[in-house]
Amino acid sequence: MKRGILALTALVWLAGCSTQPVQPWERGDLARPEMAFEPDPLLAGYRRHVEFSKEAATGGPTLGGGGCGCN
Amino acid sequence: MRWRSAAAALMWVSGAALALGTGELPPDLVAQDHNGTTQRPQDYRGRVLYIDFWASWCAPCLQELPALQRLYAERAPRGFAVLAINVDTRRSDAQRLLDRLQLSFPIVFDPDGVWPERFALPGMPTGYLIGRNGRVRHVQVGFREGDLATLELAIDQALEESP
Repeated sequence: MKRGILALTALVWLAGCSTQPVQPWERGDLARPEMAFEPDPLLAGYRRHVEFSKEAATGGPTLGGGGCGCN
Repeated sequence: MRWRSAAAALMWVSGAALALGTGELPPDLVAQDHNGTTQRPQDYRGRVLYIDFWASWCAPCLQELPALQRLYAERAPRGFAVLAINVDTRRSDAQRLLDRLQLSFPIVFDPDGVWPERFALPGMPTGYLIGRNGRVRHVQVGFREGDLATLELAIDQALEESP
């Protein structure tokens, strides 16, 4: 009996995960511009510039090489 | 034994709904379109129906809808019908696109996602080609320009068949 309850509890717990994924037709709200990490492209560009200027060795998120840190 | 039945029932309830496939009957759903006309897939029996699920945020849908309009305009006299189900949560988003595209087939607005849930859509956009016998003949998941020829062929084959 105890094992049955335990198994059923585990099953309920696992089954809970199956209800989590966002369905294809529910992605509209996620596609809104305000849902982006950085909705303002100008501000995002400015932040990237500051980032790769300061983090000279990494070269920013989309550049292959490093930077001199002077620009 | 009771535990086994309960576990089986739980697995059945929690499992994802099976997507509608070829040869199956579409779910019996009723809704009003943008003109206030009652739309029900079963009422199209004897004609070839394409049920298309779309949204304004879905980029391939923007490519697909004008193509569907062309297919519909060319083949409607032969018994081809299109029923477009919009799944936008805000109707204004859909309306903005509709004003631009000028589609002549019926549009059903389903912000609560009742229709896509019953069809268990595998992706966006998805289209179901339903033959004259009322059964699904072809499922179009996603849309690329190269898919148009396949879709046209499937529609033409369905139109040639007798009910």
